[in-house]
Amino acid sequence: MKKDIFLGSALVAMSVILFVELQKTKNPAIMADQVSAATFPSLLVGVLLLLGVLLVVTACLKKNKQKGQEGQARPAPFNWGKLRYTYQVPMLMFVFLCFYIFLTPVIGFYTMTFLFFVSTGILLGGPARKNIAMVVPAALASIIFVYYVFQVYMRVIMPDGLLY
Amino acid sequence: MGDYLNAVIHSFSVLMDPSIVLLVCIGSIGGIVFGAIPGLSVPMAVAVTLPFTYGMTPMQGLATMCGVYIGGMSGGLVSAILIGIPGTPGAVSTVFDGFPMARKGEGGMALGIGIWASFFGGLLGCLVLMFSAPGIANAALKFGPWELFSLIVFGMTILATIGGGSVIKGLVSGVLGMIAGTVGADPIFNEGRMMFGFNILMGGIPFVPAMIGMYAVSQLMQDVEKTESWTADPPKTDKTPRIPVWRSAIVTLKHYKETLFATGVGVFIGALPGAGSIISNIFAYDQIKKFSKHPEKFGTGIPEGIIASEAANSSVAGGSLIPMITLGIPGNAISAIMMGAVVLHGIQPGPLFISTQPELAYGLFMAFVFANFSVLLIQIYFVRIAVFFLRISRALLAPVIFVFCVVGAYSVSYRLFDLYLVAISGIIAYIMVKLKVPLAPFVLGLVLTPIAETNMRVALMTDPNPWLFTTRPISLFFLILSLISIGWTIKSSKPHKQGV
Repeated sequence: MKKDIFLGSALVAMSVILFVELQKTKNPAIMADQVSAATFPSLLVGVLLLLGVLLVVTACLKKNKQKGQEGQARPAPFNWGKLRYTYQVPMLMFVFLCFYIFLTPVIGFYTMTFLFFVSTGILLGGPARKNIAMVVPAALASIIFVYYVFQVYMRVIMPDGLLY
Repeated sequence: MGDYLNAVIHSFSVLMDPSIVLLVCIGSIGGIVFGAIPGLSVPMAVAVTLPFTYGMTPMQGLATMCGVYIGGMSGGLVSAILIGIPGTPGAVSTVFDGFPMARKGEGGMALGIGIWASFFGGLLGCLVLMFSAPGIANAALKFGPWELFSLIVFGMTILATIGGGSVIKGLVSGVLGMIAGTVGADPIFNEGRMMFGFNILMGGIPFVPAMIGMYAVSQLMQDVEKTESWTADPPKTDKTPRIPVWRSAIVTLKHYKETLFATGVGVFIGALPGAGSIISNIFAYDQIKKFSKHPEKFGTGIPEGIIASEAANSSVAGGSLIPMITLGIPGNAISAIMMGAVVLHGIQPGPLFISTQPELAYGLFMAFVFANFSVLLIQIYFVRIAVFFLRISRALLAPVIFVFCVVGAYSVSYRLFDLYLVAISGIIAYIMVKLKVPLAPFVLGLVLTPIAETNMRVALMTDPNPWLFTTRPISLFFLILSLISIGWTIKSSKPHKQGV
């Protein structure tokens, strides 16, 4: 329920921002008697606003109904521990991915690929020697595969940085 | 009729090209591997394959993706039968009878039946596609911009409402996708919109990096939430069982009624926008069980259960391409990604696709047919490949896929912006999933918006009267269907909620 209220409010806020941005759309003179470039997106933003409001209203109604059924029972406290347990690995992996993407043009694609591969492999498989012994050769094999398939065969030039 | 036959005969020449045959086989192996590994999905496989197809001709690219699609749909049965975990959501009900059969020591027979049922279902689905598509496309040629716009509205609403879950959230996803599809230059006068000062967005949100982020990155983030499944040793499978090829084929053929029924269900559900292999395999299993003379045996390891699930999920592929090829409206996320690939090559699927690009259209049909044979042979004789990948540590798979995502997104247009988009769309899709907002309507919205907007504006430029959308019979028909689909979903979800 809380999630729906949050989502609905975010959609309403997003609709307002998008609507303001759409006001900046220019219309050339030739379009004076035509449907403007902003009409279709404005229509969609209007629908999004409506859906956002609908989501908040239905979530609030459900919440009230539930409250009525549960009486005065206190809601269960928010479990931060569970939240951290569930999301810490995906979030760390996402942070690694961001570092990989943002540092690739600075350090170089192949070096960053190796570092990313090894760090993600250790994050997911643990720091055991057996896992590291698997991850490092796999990282090197992947780099060689990417180099030959993409750079040599498909002629995709990967970004170079300070290193290779 | 003569042209039609000529095109069909000509399409056989596609299979004379060794590069196409090879690419379908490689794609099939890739698809089977992705399908077999629980946690890796078929849309992810198609999205990751997409960048490999840039350097290819449109036919080669489509052939590769056909292999991946068919291989992925079928590959889910390997892990479903051997370890009791469906490799893809489409193989959920394969577990019900496939795994008990394997535990009784008949793993080889279960695999064989699943592979043959998958082959017959996939092949029949392709034939339905091949023979129904030209007729539907001809009918669609009579559509004007009003009808096409209303058809897209119908496609979007049915997709948003049919997938289960909240109707509002389905619609939110579709509208968000459509808004994302309007970013950048408008299709008529080339005026920039909603770019927030980033001129790089003038060309719109690039489809491939967005898809890679949404389907690959977000999926991997969901998979690693269950840390135990990644840090634990790979699932144990017994020694790969030997498949009794001909005995399993005979068993499958003996149950031809179940195969045909499940295929019909798969094709029909596949052709509906948004409904896919997940619904089809469960529905077909459930119905075949209901009409069976011995429903109590279902779940104990009987061939009918495997056939129902596998024929239904594999025939979805053919069905899902019918609306994409004939109307330019993809039936599910996978065909949406395939449509994106076709568009990247400068080809627009739709009613004119078969008549203007007959070689490509019939070549695609033929590649689909061949992909079924290729998947059949690979799974029967090289099922060990899938089992080998099933045994690989999951901690190695995630970084490999991430690296391919990054390389693939970058290789589209060599822009770092596309890499940032992979990360952004990945985290947005992850949040959407966590908030129970479905992803498929977003993808369809992104793909269909340029077509919808162009048709709406052309319609209004032709005649400014907006009521024409409701007074032209076919257009009105689609709009009424849209309202019915929303109304029906809201009505049918009410008793369920009360029950909860």
